[in-house]
Amino acid sequence: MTVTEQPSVTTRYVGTEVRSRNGARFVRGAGRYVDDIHLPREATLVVLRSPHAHARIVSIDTTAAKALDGVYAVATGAELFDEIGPQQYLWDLPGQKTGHGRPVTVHKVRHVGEPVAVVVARDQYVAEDARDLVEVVYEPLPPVSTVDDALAPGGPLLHEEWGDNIQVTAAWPVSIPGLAEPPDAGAALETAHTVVRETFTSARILANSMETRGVVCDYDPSGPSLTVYTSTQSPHQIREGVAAMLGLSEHRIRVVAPDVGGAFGMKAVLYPEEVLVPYFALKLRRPVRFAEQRDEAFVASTPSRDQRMDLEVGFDADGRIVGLRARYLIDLGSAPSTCGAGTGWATGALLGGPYTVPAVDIVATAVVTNKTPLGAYRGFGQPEANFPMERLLDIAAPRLGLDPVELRRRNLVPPDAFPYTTATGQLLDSGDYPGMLAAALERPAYRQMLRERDEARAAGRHVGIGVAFFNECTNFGPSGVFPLIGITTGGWDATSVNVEPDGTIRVVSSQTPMGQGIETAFAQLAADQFGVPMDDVVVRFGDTDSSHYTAYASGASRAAGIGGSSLMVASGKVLDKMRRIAAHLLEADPDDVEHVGGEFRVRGAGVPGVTHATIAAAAYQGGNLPEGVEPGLEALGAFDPQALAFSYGVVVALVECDEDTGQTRVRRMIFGHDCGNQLNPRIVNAQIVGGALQGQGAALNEELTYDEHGRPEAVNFKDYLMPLATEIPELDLFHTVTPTPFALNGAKGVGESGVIAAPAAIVNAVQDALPAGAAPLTTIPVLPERLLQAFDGRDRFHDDRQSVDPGPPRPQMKESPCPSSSSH
Amino acid sequence: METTDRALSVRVNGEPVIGIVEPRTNLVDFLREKAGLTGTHTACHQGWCGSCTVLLDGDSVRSCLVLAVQADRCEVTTVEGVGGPDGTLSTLQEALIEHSGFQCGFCTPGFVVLGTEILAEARAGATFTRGELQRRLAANICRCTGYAGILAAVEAALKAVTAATHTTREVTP
Repeated sequence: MTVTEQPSVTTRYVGTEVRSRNGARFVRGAGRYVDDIHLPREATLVVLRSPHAHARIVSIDTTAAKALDGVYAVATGAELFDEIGPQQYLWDLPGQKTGHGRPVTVHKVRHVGEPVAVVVARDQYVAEDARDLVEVVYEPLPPVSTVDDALAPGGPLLHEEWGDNIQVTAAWPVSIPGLAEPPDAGAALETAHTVVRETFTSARILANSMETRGVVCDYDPSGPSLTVYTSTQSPHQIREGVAAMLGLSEHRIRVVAPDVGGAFGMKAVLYPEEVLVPYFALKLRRPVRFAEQRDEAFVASTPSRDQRMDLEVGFDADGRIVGLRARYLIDLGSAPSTCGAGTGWATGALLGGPYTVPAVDIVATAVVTNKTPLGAYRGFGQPEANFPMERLLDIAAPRLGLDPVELRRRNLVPPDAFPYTTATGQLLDSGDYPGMLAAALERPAYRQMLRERDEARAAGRHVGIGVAFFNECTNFGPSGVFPLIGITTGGWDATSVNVEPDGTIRVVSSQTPMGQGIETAFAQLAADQFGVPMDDVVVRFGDTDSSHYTAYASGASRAAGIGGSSLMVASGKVLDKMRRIAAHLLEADPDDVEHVGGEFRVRGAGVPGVTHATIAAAAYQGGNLPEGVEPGLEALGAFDPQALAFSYGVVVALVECDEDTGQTRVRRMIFGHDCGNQLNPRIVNAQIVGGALQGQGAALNEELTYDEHGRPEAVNFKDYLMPLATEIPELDLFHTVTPTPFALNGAKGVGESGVIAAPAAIVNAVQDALPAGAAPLTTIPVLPERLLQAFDGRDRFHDDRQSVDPGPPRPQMKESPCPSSSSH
Repeated sequence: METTDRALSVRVNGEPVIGIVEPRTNLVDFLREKAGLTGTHTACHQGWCGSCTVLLDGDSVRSCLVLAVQADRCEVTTVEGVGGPDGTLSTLQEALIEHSGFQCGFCTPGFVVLGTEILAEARAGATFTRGELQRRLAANICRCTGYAGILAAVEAALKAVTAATHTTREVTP
């Protein structure tokens, strides 16, 4: 496949391992994050959060708080209700129900951490003192702690006006009028040779960017107007939300995302504080700041995953999938975030993954419980699809008399079938899935794994190997499809390119860096487009006053493919104008002028060409330009993909399990990966290595648990265990390159690949390490207590605990977990 | 209103910083807000993540667990004080860039300071196996990199420092 829409350019930087442009800043501590920004006369906002999962608010007394020296404002939800309108929803699935949508609740609290009141004061210390003086009387209500509680007939309702606790449902296949009826999955399953059915649970986990959220808002009395500095992936979406909720015109609001200290999807949507801070800046006519504290991040920043899926797959006698049925529940928390049930929708739409699944019958049900609202996190519904599917294939393989790898090979979409439309209506663009699987097993590292496993087993140790395949939906668009899947914005992106008066280049992207290296990759891309050294290119971003409006911002692994393509469109426009000006200066026909080595010259004339600086000087002086050409050298390029691009790959894990402690150690991992053309392999590798360790955390350590009162049991890094430097596997990473035909640069996304299949590969390996006949592992994370239970078929850890602390039963889980792990 | 504010003087990166603080003020807040050194980051304020690591009289501490008044008349080195006075980067800082030991950059200052302490020990003759290094680096949390680049950078810097130390010893017995 070739990219035909663009003239060929010499690639000097693209595809090479250019070092990060941020390095010198970050290692000196010279990054500039939101909390580093201080403004004269600034006040600090803190939020009083509910300590109850479910309660009626009887009364709130703010008198003492208001009286404290240094307090500027205290407000309750009731007082703010008519001042700040409801939030909008990025994912608005047909028929979805919503909550109050206000940044501060009124009447009722529905999760621990829900904002109840707001204090603005001289500094963080005084604001927290005043917050402690706010007296709230609650009348506790029975909490809905699990999805089963939520669906229990006659149980408590979170939103009484809904009539039940179901927020939305979605189903596949989708019948389209005029097209043939989709095949009947029920009939396929009935006549299948073998049907395998299991229930799988993916725990509620949290992105936990090292920088918490933060907002600083400057106030300008003219207008008045606001400048909002916020740690976000989506400056334009924040501006839209703030404007709508405060009733301000968008042109009076400037949103700036400075350095973002990690986001992982968690900072993709509008949060209450992003509206409260500007509101109080306007009200108090002074700058206001908010810095989320880590304990509140555990209840106020959106977690993700949290699904339980009953999955049934039918196979023919040769092991080929004939049909799939899935019924799954998404624990949405107390009300939809602006992301709504988006992750749950993606799980269903992408459940077939890289496999040919001819018939599906999938129903997703999003329910509300008394927990923090669910949001986006790296992978966005796809790890929740991959884990059940890849575990089920491993469970099915022995029943079909097949090796797990062979079972996958028989069902992967073959390379000649692309573009391939799945039974849920997704178009897979390109790839060689079986080739990728074969390549992984030919790695020397794989032979090493087999050797190590066999030696360890001979020595009586519990070591196993697991495989999982995945594809990843990237280059999220196109705009024409978005309304059909419940997304309220467009799916395109924009870049402006300026050639400055001295001939150097300024790129202004609408994508927002958060550690993924956009500023470096886009500088490479632009330098190649213009044939100039990278030092001649600067990349700006993250400011609604300079970055053009973008519909979906930075998320869904769309920067390289969609953002990058828009950069190429803009560069093409500028270069075209430069060619016309060059032709005019050279007294030649533009068609005879070529762009070589950073200058324009007449093809074959053998005379010196004109440099970018010369052309720029003419463009900005303006007096000697060709007929009809306007002064200046700036262009906006927008790109809307025709279709999604699917990255893909395979993960092979070698693990060792300790029968006495229940600890699992990931010793080795092979990661085969294809994201099409790579702008910068160094960045691609870094994304995968980091993502894979996050996936390992999801597989083995990370879980947000709640007690029987709906109170979170982890609000710090002691109780929420993220992987540490001691836990990294020996990693063998390799790539193949299958460009997507649907981006100008052939690039597919890479940001989320690491996390998708790592959990399934690790758990498949753990299962392989367990004694034959051990019950199938169907829940992540595989905490030590769960592993011990799997080892000997009884809940040793839990039995021991019973004598000390009975603990609440946890009906939502298939296995009986304990609330906290001790794996560090 | 009665005040319990305390005056203190801390030598930060070789320069005296004088301030008046409430006794409850953390060292990290003093460094960020009174000394204006925002390179030291607070990712948890709970002592678990190590992002706020600084050297207090040469030893690494979590500056969110130290009160500013405890640092009175002490020597503090922050990430801003790790490089040369002329702006040159330390061996470790260079290695972190070369080995992509960061992505979002937020935890980076903590790792720079932690690694600086490790390198100082190596200069004094300590040696580290990979496992020992991993255990030392497990004091801090990074969510982006998977630690591979950080570990590679510290190992590379250790190698360079050890080589330089040996050379120096040979030249000046």
